[in-house]
Amino acid sequence: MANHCYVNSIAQVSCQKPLSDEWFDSPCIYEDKYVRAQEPDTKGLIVPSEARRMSKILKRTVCTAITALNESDIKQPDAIITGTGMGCMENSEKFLIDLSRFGEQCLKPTLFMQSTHNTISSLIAIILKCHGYNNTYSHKGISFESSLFDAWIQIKSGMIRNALVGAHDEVTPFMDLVMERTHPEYSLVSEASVSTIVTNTRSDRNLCEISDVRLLHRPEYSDLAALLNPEEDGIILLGLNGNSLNDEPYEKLVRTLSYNPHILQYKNIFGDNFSASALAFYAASKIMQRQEIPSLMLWNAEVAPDIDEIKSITILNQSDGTTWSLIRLKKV
Amino acid sequence: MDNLILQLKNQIIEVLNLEDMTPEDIDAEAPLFGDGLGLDSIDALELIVLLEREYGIKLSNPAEGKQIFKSIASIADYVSKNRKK
Repeated sequence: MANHCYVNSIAQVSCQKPLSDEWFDSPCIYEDKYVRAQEPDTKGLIVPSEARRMSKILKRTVCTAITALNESDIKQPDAIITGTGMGCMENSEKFLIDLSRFGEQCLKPTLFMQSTHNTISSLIAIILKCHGYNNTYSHKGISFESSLFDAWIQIKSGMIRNALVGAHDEVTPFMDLVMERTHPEYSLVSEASVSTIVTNTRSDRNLCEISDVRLLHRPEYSDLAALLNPEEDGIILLGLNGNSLNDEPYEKLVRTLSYNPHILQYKNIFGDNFSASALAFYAASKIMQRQEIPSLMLWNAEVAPDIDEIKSITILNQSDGTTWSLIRLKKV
Repeated sequence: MDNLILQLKNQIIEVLNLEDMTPEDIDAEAPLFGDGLGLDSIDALELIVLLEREYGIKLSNPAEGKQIFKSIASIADYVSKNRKK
């Protein structure tokens, strides 16, 4: 697999200022445990007559996808690959409530059409008139990595030249209520919509290179530790969220390592949800581009590591303590 | 009839997410499809569901639809004559 795979552009909608890097210097700090995403200004990105039929997650998706494309060298991607843990949750909830109230005879067609997981990826394809490869991965907390792995391996093997990869999840008040009852330890729950253009072409615009993507099911900690080395994995970005069930596997892994990496976190800034790891990818790409680390991302440290050049960042994510992912980003 | 027209305008704004519109912006006699409000076939399905849910009207003959959904006024006229709730 001789081809390289670069991050050409990336855009986010979250509880931080949407379609912006402002969080890097002045992040929004929340005291509430559940915060919805800040809605992007759709003007110039979505035709108003089309926007009226779109739910929040679809508007956020189109805004990040079009912004990522506008900021990239690519106008028509070879593939559109999307990850989502829960799909169009708000529409699904409305549809199910209607189903229970009105039965099967009297259901709204728009909610029916726009409550499936692959609505997201297909809507981007319709807007871009992109007839290429289109796929959706719905694998809980590693949905984004599954999409990125698909794009990465197809670019590395020469099957496609570039792809629009994204991960999108909304967290409704009802979902928050359920999580509050089942996982009350969470520090911040929010929503995520991230779109990125990945390409095989070297360009000054590229933020970084994706040198490795791995998905591992029920690995031993020693197997995970064997994948990491101090030269390439000196900075590790983890999905710590303040819940001991979630954090313990990360802490165990760190204890297993034979060296002391600089540990970064991101869920304290962006919150947690099934697409949160896409925000880790976004934050790491921006760190690589700007060559600085926001102090809020430091874990168990008060000052940023004294590093002349950030050559690589490794993102480690786990879902339910069973499935792990590793994404290694390198400076270009 | 005026009250029914106003009620229908409000229901259509809500069901079709015409967020930037008020009842005053909609001419009761103007065409709903094509020109006028510029609604499409999915909106037509939403209107059929609206009539069934709110007024108990089941449109069994699709050919009737074109005439009924010509304008807000024509919907109001049909609803006033056929409503079951």
